[in-house]
Amino acid sequence: MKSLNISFEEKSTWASLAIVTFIFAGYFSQVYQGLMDGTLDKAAIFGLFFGAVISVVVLEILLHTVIALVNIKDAEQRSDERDRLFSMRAGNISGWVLGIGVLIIAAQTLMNDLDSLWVANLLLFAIFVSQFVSYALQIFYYRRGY
Amino acid sequence: MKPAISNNIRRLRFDNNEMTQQALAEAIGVTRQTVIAIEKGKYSPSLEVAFKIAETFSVTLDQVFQYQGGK
Repeated sequence: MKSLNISFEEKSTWASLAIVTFIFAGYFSQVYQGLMDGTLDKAAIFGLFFGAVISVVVLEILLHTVIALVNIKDAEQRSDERDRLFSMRAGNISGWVLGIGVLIIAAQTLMNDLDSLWVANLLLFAIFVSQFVSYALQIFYYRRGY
Repeated sequence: MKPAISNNIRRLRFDNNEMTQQALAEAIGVTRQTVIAIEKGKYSPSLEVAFKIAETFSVTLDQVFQYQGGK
């Protein structure tokens, strides 16, 4: 099967974006509903979080194995300077996103005296948004060029 | 927007027995997709890769790349 001029690294980034979005969108919607209703306690949230992390790891391994098997030659190529440059540039911006998110959460916590479960999940959400931005930017650079 | 740096890689590959993008990629140590991006002007390589391309075709750097900026 001929690859559509998409490198293994780009396919890998697409896969990670899809997995993280799919799993953590589910996690945050469940946690948000549970915290609003008061139906989730710490143990239940920890269980959901643990399940989400395990799911991400398993899906990452599965999907990356499939991508590598579809085009073994591309998978054997190591990432090059273009991959590293895009990753660094995306990481730089996503780092800012995370920093701003943490500052907002810190301010909200001090002003509104938020519960620790809310703070923990808001911090997780900031990490999720930051990672999403990183993957999305890398794909943008691959598609548009830099 | 027109890229600031243009290149003759497509022609140089043609002049070198239709060297494939894969063969060039292997010669300069990048992926085939990076060679495609450079050829299309969608990625400006590092100096090291630029020199490796020139060396592969046994030409000077300015025979491979032309800077269009400021024109």
